[in-house]
Amino acid sequence: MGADQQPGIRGGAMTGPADRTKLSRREFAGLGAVSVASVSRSLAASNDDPKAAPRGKAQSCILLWMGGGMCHVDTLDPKTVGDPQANKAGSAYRSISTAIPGVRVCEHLSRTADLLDRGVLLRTLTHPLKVDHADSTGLMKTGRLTSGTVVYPSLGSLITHQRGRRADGIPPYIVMGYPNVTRGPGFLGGQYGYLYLTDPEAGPTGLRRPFDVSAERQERRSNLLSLLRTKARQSAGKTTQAYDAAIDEAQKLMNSAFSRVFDLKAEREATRERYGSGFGQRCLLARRLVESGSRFVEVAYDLNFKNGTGWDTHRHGQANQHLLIEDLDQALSALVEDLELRGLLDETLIVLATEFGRPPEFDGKGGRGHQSAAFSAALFGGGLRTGQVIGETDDLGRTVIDRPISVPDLHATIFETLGIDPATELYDGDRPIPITDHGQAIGELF
Amino acid sequence: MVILAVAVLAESAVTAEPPAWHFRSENSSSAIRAGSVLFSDLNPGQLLTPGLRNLGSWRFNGRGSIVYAMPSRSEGFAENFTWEGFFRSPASNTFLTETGIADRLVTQFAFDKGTWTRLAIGLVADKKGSPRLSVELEGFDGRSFGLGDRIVAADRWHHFALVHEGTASAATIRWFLDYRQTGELFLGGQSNQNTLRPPGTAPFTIGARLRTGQVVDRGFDGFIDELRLSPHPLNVDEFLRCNDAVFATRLDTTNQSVLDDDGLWRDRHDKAHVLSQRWAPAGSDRSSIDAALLAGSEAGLINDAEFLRRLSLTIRGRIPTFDEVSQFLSESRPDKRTRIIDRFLASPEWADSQVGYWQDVLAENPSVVFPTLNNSGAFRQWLYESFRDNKPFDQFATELLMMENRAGRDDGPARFALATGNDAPMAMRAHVAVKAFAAVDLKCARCHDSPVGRFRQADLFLLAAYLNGGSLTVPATSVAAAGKAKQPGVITTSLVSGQQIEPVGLRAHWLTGEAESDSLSPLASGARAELAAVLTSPGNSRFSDVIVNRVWKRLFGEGLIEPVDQWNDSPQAAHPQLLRSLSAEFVESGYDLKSLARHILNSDAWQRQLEGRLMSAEQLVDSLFVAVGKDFQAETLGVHATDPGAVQLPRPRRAWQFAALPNERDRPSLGMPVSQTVVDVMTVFGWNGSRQQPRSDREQTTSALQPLLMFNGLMSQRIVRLSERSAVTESCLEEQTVEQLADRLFLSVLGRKPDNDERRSVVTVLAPAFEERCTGKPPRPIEPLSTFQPDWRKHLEPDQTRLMLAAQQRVAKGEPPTARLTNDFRERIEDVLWALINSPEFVVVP
Repeated sequence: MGADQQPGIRGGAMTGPADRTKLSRREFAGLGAVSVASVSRSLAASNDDPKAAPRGKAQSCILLWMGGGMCHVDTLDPKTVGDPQANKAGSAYRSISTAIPGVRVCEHLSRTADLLDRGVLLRTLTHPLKVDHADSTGLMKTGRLTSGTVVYPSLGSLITHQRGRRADGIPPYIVMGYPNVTRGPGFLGGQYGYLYLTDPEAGPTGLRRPFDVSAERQERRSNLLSLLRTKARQSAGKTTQAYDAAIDEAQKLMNSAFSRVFDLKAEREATRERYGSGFGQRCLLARRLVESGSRFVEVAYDLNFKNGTGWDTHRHGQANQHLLIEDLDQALSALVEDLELRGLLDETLIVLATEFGRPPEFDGKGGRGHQSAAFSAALFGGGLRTGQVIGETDDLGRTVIDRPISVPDLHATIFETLGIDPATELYDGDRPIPITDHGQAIGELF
Repeated sequence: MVILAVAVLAESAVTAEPPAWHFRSENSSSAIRAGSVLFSDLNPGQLLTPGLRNLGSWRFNGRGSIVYAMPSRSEGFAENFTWEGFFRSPASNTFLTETGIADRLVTQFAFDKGTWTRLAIGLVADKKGSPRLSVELEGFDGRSFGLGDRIVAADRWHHFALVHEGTASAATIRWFLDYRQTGELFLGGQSNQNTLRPPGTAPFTIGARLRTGQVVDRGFDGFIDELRLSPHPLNVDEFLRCNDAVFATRLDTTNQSVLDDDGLWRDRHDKAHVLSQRWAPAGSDRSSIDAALLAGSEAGLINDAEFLRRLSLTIRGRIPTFDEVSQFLSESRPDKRTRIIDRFLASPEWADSQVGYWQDVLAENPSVVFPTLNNSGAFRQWLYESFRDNKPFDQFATELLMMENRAGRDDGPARFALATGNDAPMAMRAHVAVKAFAAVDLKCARCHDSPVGRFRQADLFLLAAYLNGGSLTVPATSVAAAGKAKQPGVITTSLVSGQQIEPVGLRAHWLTGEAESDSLSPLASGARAELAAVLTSPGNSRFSDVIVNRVWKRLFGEGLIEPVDQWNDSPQAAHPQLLRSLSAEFVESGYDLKSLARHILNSDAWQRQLEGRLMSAEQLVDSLFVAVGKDFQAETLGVHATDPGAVQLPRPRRAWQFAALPNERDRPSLGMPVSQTVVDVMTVFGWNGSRQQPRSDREQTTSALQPLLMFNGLMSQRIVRLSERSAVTESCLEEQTVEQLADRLFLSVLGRKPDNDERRSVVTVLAPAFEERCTGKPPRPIEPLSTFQPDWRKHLEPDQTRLMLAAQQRVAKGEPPTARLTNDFRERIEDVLWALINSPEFVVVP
């Protein structure tokens, strides 16, 4: 990071009180928000070198989140085989060749291996937080260390904020996982938040009417509500009018194509089987969502542990890790194939990520601890120049030998792929905040 | 054989669930003779007289015991229960015994497969012979023992509590002495195999040990009283609430702080009045609210129904009940509004309406899992009590800044001091404090001087040094590397890392920009007391202006000065003379918030048509539950995380008691299905349980997510569902006409009667099933909505995920509908309720 690139200090463009004009944003309502416009403006480069326009043309992003810390040497960056019993460091599985010549991945990723030419392996992610899941997750999701003064928005909220909606009646940002602050919009405000669901069949809470309310009952309810709304509107208060308008928007969403997106039975049986169970069905739902016009969908890996610990394979969790990897393989390859089949792969960026990796050494009980000095992520589709590997780790995957990729770099790459200038600045109140902490997009991918 | 009266309380006033048994002695100093006594429920005893010690306690002589045969539902007590009570043992006791616990307070037995096991809490000697409160489980697989971490002083009353939480396979026992945890044992799971098995009909004893059914040798020597057995794992805040009113006198009050001296505060307030004369307008120049705001024009007061609803929401945090509305609307006294203002202000619910706001302003941010950045301790209970007691506001601010724990409790302002993960916690807290009390925003000063204002980094760190109570070193991360900036002078830092800052030289005028003035002398020695004296100084009007303005904003929706927490650039007040007048009165009243509120609430300006505001998240949630007479049934908020910074918060009774839920790791076994339904609604209406930063404003935007969740969310389903727990069920069963029922529904939810169209529509919906609505069946037995409680130590067991998902499904299914009304009728009522709560009229404060 250069000395002139300190946060908040941009060449010659410090804002003072007089500069705080509020530009109206382009016509964009978050989720039917009737709101006070928050200040958001891109700082046009002034003294800096004129930046080229972002090179990517993708329209949506699907984040496959492997929470817990997916071990890189057991998946995307295999090394010599180790042995937990003998306490010999190394990968737990053998490796196989892939569609990228000279590149190998774990044997349990066989289907993904055949499709790897549609992807890019980023083998040298690195950051300093390897101890606490929550801290590292926050860093990966927001691109920044937790600060005492700013609540940073998540990747999903930033993308939603910058690119806006693709389609009416479809929420732009959806999370299949549990609600928490690291997925949230931070200082951007509630309208850039997400809709979340933990059960794909049921859909997001609030979208479907309760199971015990028939269509007839719903009509009775709506009629009564109409009457009350008419009366309320007569009072003409601004807030009442705004809430009334929000009710209109909500009713539209309930009756729209959006609520049908969650009906997975509309898919062919063969397709559903191809994706597999649990996580796979959520990936299928993610495809349907981007197809219908969502901008960003986060799919958290299986919320119910298969092996006792999920990806966080301390101690005995390691024993059945291969089940997770196979699960991932089936779902990820199905998603890539499916998008390609429908001609959507170029406009959809798939990000496979985790909060940190794990060391090649085994702990006393055959599992692994945490490692953040070097770990892997992968990108698929998005119109990128795929079929590459970026970065190289040492013979056991402990450290980065060549081409480290910081979390801001990853974010910058994702932004650029989606046609967002990574140098864009936002404002939290009167404080300028660039959308990445000086990340540099990976040029080889464009 | 001595029969003692036993009071079995049907209901406890303060806990959400009643204790199972509650023993109080009626007779003075009843001596227990040796021998076992079996007794059953008798009439409730009379309340003990507080302040009279040793009156009405049970006196044990080292041999006697009370034996109580457990009723058939004792199976439940293998899982979650709490014993608590008070004891006092004389100095002459010796605690040495070769068989473990010498003086046993309470012992529970189990008999299974021919073997007895027992769990006992009592006093045992440590290596030096001093007594400690300890717990012993002689189980089937050996003995587990835990020694308390503090010596128990003799000849004083103490509170003890034992909390057992878990299942047959894994459990935790925690025990508390005088409301502080003094020991913990893990049973079962991976640590050991010993657990408490279901006791069946085996007895438990008070005072001594039973061996194979007989009383033996050495028992408790001293006094025991107010024993309570609850079928839940309670926590400290819940013990305190139960015991507070009656037993405050029993605890050691020798270490009373000067902060509690009421006489001292009265004296200070007199002096404050004198000092405030420098800036207070003379009597004849004082503005009145109506004169300033209405400027002679007609007020256009709102009607009684709207007034009552607005008043109740504003100063009690919830809508009025059907009874309250009916009574107020039918009253004809001309001064009824004044009287009800007084009545509501006197209610403890005033405190409930204040806590949420001050949690935001003071960044109260406890973590129920592992603390991350800027988690504070949980000082919400102290906030609540401060408002309940109408503590003078300068005293409130002073106590907060002194950050002490007092009277044997550790749930007070000391928890404000915490800012986890922050290498300059006092800087963070100083920022919170001056923003709250002086409307000075020093956020940027954490790392550099403000580029646009006049505050420098040195200002914040000076305040931080005062809060620290001593010199402070500037950490490296607090200094932006501005020295290397290409454009020097744009961002400057007045400090360097490693620099020592001493708490000297603070003057109020630095912060306020006003002329130097006298402060009252600090209440105690030390830098914190000095800081408190400066920030609350009546020599200038800043403190009272800020607080008056905050109260004004909460009551009117907009402050006389905006924003309320940032006056760095000396903004102008909308009505400067009015603000000054109110400010002067505030000081004269002794910084009495209620007095200020009373003044404003009684003005025509407040009682006229105002721009309606969306209910806050807390108002909305509390109002919905009040409208149908249900309670949250939420989980205890905590996962017993293995980190000393994590907290356990009691089951919420009002919305402010919720906290950010622990599921950042997407782990189902850490989920709280019931609380999640409430937190989801609160979040979408602007609440944020994760308060890493102070704020004085919630987001006021509306979005489609709000009605979506209100239409179809699980909390709304629970609100409208006519279960056996719903007060609406009871209303429906009463003798009445269908028109009267329709009116009742409107009054309960919207606080007004329906107009003719509305009544007609509702009657059309209800009439077809109205006559035959009662089934004549008895009510279903009431069961808890969910009994799942996440536990960090067990959360990786596959069992836990399954249990949580089962609980989630039960919550999704909802409470079973009442058996006493026909399904057809019930559905019609639920549909009417649904429409009422989803009307825009419900969510907007009139």
